[in-house]
Amino acid sequence: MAKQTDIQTLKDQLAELDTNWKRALADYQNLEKRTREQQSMMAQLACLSLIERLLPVLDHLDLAAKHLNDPGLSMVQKQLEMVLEEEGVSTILAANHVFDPTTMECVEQVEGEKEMVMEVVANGYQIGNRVIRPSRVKVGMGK
Amino acid sequence: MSKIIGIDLGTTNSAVAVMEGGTPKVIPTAEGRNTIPSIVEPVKNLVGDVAKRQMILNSKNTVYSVKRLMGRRIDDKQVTLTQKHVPYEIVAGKDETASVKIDGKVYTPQEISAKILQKAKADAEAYLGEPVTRAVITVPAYFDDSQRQATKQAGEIAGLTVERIINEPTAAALAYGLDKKDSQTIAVYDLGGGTFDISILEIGGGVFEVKSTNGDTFLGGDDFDAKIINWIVAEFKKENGVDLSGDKQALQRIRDSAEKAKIELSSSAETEINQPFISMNNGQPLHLTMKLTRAKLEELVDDLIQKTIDPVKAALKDAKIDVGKVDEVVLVGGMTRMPKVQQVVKDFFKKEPHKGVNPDEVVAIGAAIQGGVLMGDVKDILLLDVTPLTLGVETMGGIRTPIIERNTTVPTSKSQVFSTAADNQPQVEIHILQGEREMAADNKSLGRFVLDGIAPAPRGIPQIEVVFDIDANGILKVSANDKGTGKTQHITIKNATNLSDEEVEKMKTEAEKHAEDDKKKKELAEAHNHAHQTVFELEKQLKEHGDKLPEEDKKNIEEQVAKLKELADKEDTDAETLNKAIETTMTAAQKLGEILYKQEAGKGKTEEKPTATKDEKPADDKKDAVEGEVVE
Repeated sequence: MAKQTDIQTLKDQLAELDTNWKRALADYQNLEKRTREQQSMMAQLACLSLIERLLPVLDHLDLAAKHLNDPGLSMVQKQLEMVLEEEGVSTILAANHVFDPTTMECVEQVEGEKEMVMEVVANGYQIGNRVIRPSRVKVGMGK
Repeated sequence: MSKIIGIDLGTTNSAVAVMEGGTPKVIPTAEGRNTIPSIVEPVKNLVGDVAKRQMILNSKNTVYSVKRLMGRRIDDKQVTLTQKHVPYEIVAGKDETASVKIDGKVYTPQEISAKILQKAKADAEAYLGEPVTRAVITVPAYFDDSQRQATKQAGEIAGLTVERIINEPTAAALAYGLDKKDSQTIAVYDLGGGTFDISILEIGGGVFEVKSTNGDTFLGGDDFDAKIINWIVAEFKKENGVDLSGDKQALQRIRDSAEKAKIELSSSAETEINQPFISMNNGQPLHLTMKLTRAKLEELVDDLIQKTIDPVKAALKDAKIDVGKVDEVVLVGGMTRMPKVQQVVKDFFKKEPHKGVNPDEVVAIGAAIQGGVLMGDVKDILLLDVTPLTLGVETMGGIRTPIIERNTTVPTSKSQVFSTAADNQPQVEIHILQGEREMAADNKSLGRFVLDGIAPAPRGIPQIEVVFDIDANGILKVSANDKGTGKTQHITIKNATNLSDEEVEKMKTEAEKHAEDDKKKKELAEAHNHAHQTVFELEKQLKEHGDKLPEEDKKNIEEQVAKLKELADKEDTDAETLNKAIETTMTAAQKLGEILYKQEAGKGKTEEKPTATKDEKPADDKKDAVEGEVVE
């Protein structure tokens, strides 16, 4: 009888260890997969954080260009935009579009057609479908 | 069975974490961030960042801080207070419970919270790649039964089985592993975006008991930001005579700057705030540019920080605990990143607070750990050890060659193939080392053994595979196998991973202290090795092919080799001189190579890789180190 219980205990232990082992193995494999994905994303992300930090500079250039109306400055602005474009960064089209919170952020409500973007305060940017920063816009409140 | 995720359902922000491979990980949102703003627009079903972005446009339909209403009655003082702060409509729902009315429809706080939880669930599923149906959710320690019940219902509405509701301070303590201590008093100081909570916990037998709680439901990071914004606006007005407080766009930009400045001043003493073209005056553009020092910031927010102390005192009083009796202090919430906050807490408790875990994520991490315990993941998981220090062998020139790097999780097995250092070397000695220093002599010697009976062969030809194997009990077995003869020798070292923390710390600091020095020593040893090996190779080639060279060239090479040998034999020759000499010698020896290639026309078999050499007498066996060239 003692043997019977021993066998049962061992069987239980074996089953438990088997489950634990499989779980650890699965965890490991999943981690491996994710690490691979993350590695390919890392390069893009490293670039992303730099771009994110460059955006305020781009905003300020934009403001300066508007104020100064200097052709030379506009050229510099264009150049920087080109570089970003080459990195796959695109400007979110907001002006005269219907407000979309997935890509835009409303900073103020102004007179104008309801739900329509009346003014872009700061451009938004995305890489592919990933929004780096939403466009900051003023939205019409309707009559 | 589904994994149990841990959710910190916060007033301002929420976060999700899960146990993976025995360690908690924060799950990033679909937007690529680590926290979800606790904001919901229920009509269009927008949650988090997306809901936040349309808040101004749709303020009456956008619900935030709904946690303040959870499980409360409409006549609750907290509800009346909240009503004054939020633009959406708070109404009496079923049984006089506080609810929100959006676009004519009444939603319970549970339903609104469920939307946040649903997003948490969806993000977790996307991350884990499997359905998630179970969760541990945290609540403030002061939540009563009906508030806890409401939180549980929120989980159920979101399609989650709520395995447990745990207190936020308990979760924070779990994240720091404080459940493993016994009979301790823990103070959890939680200064978040909109609320301040202090909790006094007692831990005994792995069970946490909340002794008291206190706080300020309307004090947090937002108030700190407001102080900075007001200061910037006032300074600007003083300088330029223009009041920006009515200019929404300018304010938005100042708010961004203030937040950035606040973050930067946690790590640096001074920051610059730059917002060009912020406004116009008499047709001239005005630029906002000013310096903000950490000292100034601390002065600005000092009263806010001091405001947290009274609740702390009250909590201690309620718990009937003297401040000196608090064993551990834990910091939670983004604002506790501020050095001044840490300082004030430290000064008050006269104790260094725990702060290693990201304070925005620490509650979610604790919840995930609780989830792991419930899954049996944490309790049953083999707590895998790591090797605290690098394990390696001594190679030519007294260099330490690492085999198993420190912090490698055990059990593990690593091997490298080495060779002999001299022709016809009959045996090698394997000297096992532990430590972080570059030179063998500076590390701890764990043991040594000799593998003999190596068949006579030129140096670099025999292949000796050295295997380091550490089992789950930290027992290190080192074996050496001569691939030529199949002869094997091994040694077993117990307690290779079993070092006291002090010992490990000491060895690590020593290594750091000597890093620069050690590197130089190693480079010198390597240069000597390289020089000896160059001499050896060239002498061999000269012997074999020298007669094919014009006498003049041969003589020149021989002279260079002799010079190099002389330099290499002198122990005080520095690395730079050696490396230069090697280069000169190799340039001279190019003639030899030319001849060789011409004659053999590429069909000649290439010699084995040049390897480090030290002209040691093979007879002096004990001193023969294995060679540092690796054939993986």
